[in-house]
Amino acid sequence: MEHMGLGKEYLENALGYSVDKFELTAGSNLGDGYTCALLRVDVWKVYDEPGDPISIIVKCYPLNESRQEFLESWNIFKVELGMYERVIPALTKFLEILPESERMPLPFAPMIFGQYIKPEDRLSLGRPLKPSDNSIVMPDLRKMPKGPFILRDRFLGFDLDHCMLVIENQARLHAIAWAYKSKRGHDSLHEEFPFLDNKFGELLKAFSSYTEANIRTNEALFHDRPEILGALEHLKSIYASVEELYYECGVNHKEKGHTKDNILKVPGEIVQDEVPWRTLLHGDCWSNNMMFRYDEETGRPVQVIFIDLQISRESDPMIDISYALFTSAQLDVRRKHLKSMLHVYFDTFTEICDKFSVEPFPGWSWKEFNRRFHRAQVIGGYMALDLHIMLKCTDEMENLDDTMAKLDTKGEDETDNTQKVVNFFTQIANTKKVHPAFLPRFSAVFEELIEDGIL
Amino acid sequence: MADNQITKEFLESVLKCKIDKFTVNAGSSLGDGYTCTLFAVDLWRNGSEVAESVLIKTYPLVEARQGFLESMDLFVRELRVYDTLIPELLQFQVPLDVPVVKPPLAPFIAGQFIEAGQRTGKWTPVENCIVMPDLRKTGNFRLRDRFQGLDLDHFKLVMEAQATLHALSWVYKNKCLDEGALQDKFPFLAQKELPEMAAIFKNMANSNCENADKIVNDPKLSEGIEHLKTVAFDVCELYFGMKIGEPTVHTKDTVLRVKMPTVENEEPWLVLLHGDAWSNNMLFRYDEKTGKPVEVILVDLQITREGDPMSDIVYALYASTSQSLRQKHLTSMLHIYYDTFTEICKTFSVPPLPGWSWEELNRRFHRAKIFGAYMSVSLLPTILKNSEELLSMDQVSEGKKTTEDLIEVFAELSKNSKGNPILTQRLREVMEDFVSDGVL
Repeated sequence: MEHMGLGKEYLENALGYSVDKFELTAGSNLGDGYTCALLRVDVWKVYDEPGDPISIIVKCYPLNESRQEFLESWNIFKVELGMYERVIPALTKFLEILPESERMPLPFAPMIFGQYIKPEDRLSLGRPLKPSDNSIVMPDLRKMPKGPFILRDRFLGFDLDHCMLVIENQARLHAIAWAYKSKRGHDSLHEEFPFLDNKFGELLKAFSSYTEANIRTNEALFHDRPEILGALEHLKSIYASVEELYYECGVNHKEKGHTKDNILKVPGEIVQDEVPWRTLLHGDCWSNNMMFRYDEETGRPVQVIFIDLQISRESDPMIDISYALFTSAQLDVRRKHLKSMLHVYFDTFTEICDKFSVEPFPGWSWKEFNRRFHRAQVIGGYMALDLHIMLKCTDEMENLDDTMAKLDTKGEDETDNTQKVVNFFTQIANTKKVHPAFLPRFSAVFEELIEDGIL
Repeated sequence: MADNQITKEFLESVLKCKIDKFTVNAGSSLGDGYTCTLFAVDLWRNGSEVAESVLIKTYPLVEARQGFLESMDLFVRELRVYDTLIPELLQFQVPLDVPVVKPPLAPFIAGQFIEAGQRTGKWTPVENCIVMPDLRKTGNFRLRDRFQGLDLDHFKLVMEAQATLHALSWVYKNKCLDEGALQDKFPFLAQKELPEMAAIFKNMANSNCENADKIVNDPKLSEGIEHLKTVAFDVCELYFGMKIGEPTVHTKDTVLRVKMPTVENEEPWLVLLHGDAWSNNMLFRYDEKTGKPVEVILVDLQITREGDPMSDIVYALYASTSQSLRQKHLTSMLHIYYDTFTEICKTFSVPPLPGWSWEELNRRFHRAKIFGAYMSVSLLPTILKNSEELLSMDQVSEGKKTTEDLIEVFAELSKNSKGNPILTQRLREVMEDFVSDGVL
C-alpha cells in the first residue's frame, strides 16, 4: 500500500483521526472494475481499549502509467469525485426542502474523503504523482454495521424484487435531479457542475474497434440463429448513430438522417417538436454497479445503492432504465413484469415532481413515457453486445496491471494510451469462450428486441 | 372486558408449565376482530426473566356470539388447523430432503377446546382458547391500516404467501393423500350442512346488494349489482362451498353476466385456503430503515377450508386494493402467484393442479371475480366503516340472544349512517371493474 501512497499519514488525513494500525484486505475482485484501483482497508483507531476496525474502500489512480493517462484524458476520475463531492451533497441538501417524512433517500453511499491534484498543480508537489493523490475514500458497504450491502452475483441476474428496487431508485435520482434543475431555473446541470459535461461519447467512439469485435464475436456465437444474425446486422448499421444520439457525441447521424425513432427496425412513432428529456443519470447501470441490502430473515432485497459513478452524466433517463433491464434482469422478468415496472418508474417520478411542485418532463404522460422507453430499448441491444464480457468467468480475467504492463513492453510506444486500453479490451472482446449463463441471457434480450421491432 | 377471566391456573393448565406472573391487556381494538375475544398477555414462565408476549383468542363472553361460533364450528376449525393440520404440513416434508417450505401462518403455542356437551359448571369462555406469540411485540409485525389497503409492495407478498399456502397443501395432498380430499383426513375443514341458514343468508345478500347500490348511486352500475343479487346465492355455494339446502342453478361459467364457455372435463382445483383474505387478517413485518414490507403472516383461520384457490386471490384483490393498482399491476401479480406455485410443485417434484397453465390460471381467475364482487358488497362497508361508527362488539351484541339477532347486528354494522367518501370510491371502483370485465 505504501507504494500507492496509502500509508498512515494519508489515512489519518483522510479519516480525520489518529490511526493505530491498518491492514489491507484483498482489493479489487477481477471482474469488478477496470479503471481505478480499488483497495479494501481495515483501520483501527487509537483508543484506550481495542475496538473493531472500521472498514473502508479506497478508490484511486492505478500504478500503471498508461492507465493513469487514460483516466486523465477522459476525466473519468474527476466525474466520480465531482459526483460525491459536489452533486450528491447538493441534491441531499435540496431534499431538505421537504418535511422529513416526505424525503426519500438518494441511492448513494457517502464519501468520507476525496482528493484530486490537478495536472497543473502536480509540478509543485515536489515529488512524483502517487496513486493516492487522486483518491476517494468510502465506507466499505459490505461491512456496514446495520446490514451489509452485497454485490449481487452478476450471473444470477435480477429477479423482480431487485429490478423493482433499481427502477424505483433510478426514478428517484432522475426526478430529484430534474426538480433540482427546475427549481434553480437551469437548463442544464452543466451550468453548476461543469465536470458532468464529460467526453464519454467521444470515448465510446474511440472504442469502435471494441464494439466491432463484440459484434463479430456475437455473430460467431449465434451463427446458427438467423434471426439474431439479422438483428446484429441491423445493429451494426445503426450503432454509431445510437452512440451519437444517446451519448451526445457527433453529428454523423444527422447526415445519415438518423433519429431516435427511425433507427429502429420498425420505425417508432414520431412526435412533432419533441423536447429532449435530460436529467442526471447513474450512467453505468448494470448488476456489478449496484449493491443490495437484504432482510436477514427472508433474504428479500430491501435497499439498493448505486456505485461507480464514473460515467454519470446528464442525458436521456430512458438510458438508465434500458441499460439495467437488458443487461441485468433475469430471463423472464421483462416479459412478465415490464409494464408493472414501468408503472413504478412513472408513478415514482410523477410523485416526486409533485412533492417538489415542479412540472415533470415536457410532454410527460404515460403514453409518451412508453413511447420514449420503447425506442430506447435499442440501448439494451447495444449494451447486450458486452454481455459476454460482463458474464465472463472470473478465472479468465487477468490482473489488469500485469496485462497492461505486458501491452506496454510490446514496444508500441507510438500508440497512444487510449488506443492501448482499447486494444486491451478488444482482445477480451475477441475471445469466444463464454459462460453458460450468457447464451440464454443474450438470446432472451435479442428475441424480445426483435419481437418489439427494435432490431 | 372482564380481565379477571384469565387466571394463573388457566394459563398454567393450557401452557402446561408453571407461571411466575402475568399481566393482561385488552387485545382487540375496535375494527380488528369480531367473532372472538382477544387478550394480550405478558407472562413470565417459571425461572425466566424474560417476558413472553402472547395473544389469547378465546370464546366470547356473550352467549349469542358463542352460538354463532358454534353453529359454524369456527373456533374449533381454527384450533385444529393450528394444532393438527399445520404440523402435518411441516412434518411430511422432513423425510423429503428438500428445503422446508413453511406455510406463511402464525406460530402456535397451545390451545384447547371443550365441547358443549363436556362443559362442567366451572367452565368459562376462556377455556376455549388459542394461544399464540404476539407477533406485534415479538416479531415486529403490524396490521396494515385498513383504509390504506394494500399497495404493490404489500400485495406482492400476499400473492407469494397465498401461492405458498395453496401449493404446499396441494403437494401434501399429492404426496400423502393420493390426491384425496383434505377434508376427509381433516374433517374439521368440511362445511356443515346448514339449511336453516338459507333464509337468513338470502336476506343478508339482498340487503348487502341494496346497500351497495345506494352507496354507489350510479345507474350505470345498478344493473350489475342487480345481477349480483340474483346470483349471490349460487356464487356462495360455488365458491364458499356453502351447503344451505338448495341446489345451484348456475355453474362457475354461467353465473357471470357475460357467460364463459364450459370446458370439457374440467377438474376442480381444491387446495387449503386462507379463507378470510382481507388486509386485517394479514400481519406485515417491515424493514426498519426503508419501511418496506418484507414478510407477511396470514392470520384468522376461522373460515379456512378446502376450496378454489382463485377465491383467496379475488378476495384479497377486491377487498384490499385500489383500481389503480389492479390496472397497473394485476398481470404482474398473477405472474407472481403462478410462478411461486409452479416453483413449489417443481421443488417437490409433483405435478401442479390439473390443467395448470398460465392461460388456465387466467381463465379461472377471471370467472372467480364474481366471488370478489360478492365479498366486496358484503365486506367493504364494514371494513371501511368510519372509526367513530365502530362499536365494540360486546356493546353491539348486548341483549342479542340468538344467532339470527347477531346476523342482524352484522347487517346493521355494514349500513352506512354518514357519507363515507373512501367507501364510496372503493365500492364504485370495484363495481366499475366488474361491469367492464363482463362479470356483472
